[in-house]
Amino acid sequence: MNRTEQIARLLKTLSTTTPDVEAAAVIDNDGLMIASALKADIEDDRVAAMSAALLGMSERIVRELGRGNFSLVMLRGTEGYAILTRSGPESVLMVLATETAKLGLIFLDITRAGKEIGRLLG
Amino acid sequence: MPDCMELPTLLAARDEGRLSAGIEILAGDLFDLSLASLLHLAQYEALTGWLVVGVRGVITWRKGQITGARAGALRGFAALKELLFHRGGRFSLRRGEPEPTGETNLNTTHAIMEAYRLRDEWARIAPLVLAIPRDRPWQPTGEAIDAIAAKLDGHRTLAEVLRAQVDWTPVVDALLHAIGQGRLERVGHVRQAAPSPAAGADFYELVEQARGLIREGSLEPAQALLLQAQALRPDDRVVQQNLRALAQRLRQS
Repeated sequence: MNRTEQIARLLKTLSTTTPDVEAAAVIDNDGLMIASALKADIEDDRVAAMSAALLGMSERIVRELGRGNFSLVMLRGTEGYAILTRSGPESVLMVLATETAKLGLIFLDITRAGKEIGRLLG
Repeated sequence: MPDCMELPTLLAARDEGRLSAGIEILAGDLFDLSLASLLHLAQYEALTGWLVVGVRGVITWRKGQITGARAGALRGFAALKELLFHRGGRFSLRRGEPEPTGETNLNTTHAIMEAYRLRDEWARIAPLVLAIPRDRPWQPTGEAIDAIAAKLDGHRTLAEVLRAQVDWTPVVDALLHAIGQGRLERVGHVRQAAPSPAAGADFYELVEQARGLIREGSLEPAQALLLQAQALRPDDRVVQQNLRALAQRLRQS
């Protein structure tokens, strides 16, 4: 099984076995989707472009405000959360969670998944 | 939840995420174990129970004989064909006691052959960019293809137009019919048609090689590999997105 397939399976596992995770995607820094477990009504192009742009901006804010190393960025809406983290130097892991999500558990799973994806992408 | 459930109840339970009735005897992904194999397995084992295929549908058995199938708005043979048409998706095979629905004598072999024929046809037409001929306005048929025809803008491929489609097989059949009758025509030179994938080509290998080429800045060879990957899995959203992003970069370069 090559690494792209492993990442696709990892995302599928993340979105089906982690409670409250509704969707997930891995995108490279240039906005190309690497793997996706998104719902049919979500626009892949928008997700890819916005995720890459938001992560770049968030990293810059953390750096310029002297907040140490970037960890993750979380957006909260009335219907749930969008969480982005690094999954290696060249990629972003984006996760959508429900509004009732247990964030501690989600962060743990996202961090683990991000590290594993980073390892696979080398 | 009772052990004995009617098919509509099963579907409602599936939609609400409550489908835990019966005993799960096998679960996995249809990429690893095809639905055709599962149909044969259920027959050999004289299974009484049901198979839930992700959010797509449900098939029920009694003593190895299919007693019902549902997929979106489709029922019976049409639903079975629809479920067989798709390659991947999580499945859960459960032993239990679904009630008969009156849908008897579903010809599994016929459904498999029809679904696989449509898969081949879809792989051929998915990368095409189609439009309604100017001299022949679309005559509404009252079927799902009317909505599809309205979206054929001469820019997007069929795979892109049908991305959010729920019931594919009736539409693919209707599209083939419309193309054959000249009610839809191919738009030339807008999007390169997918080359046939090399014998034994692996979908993920092609995608990974394409990604490597993109990193090196070799966009056109990468596009050719992605088109091959798309021919293997026309409804894969990652490849569709990569092709759109790549086309944009090629236009800019």
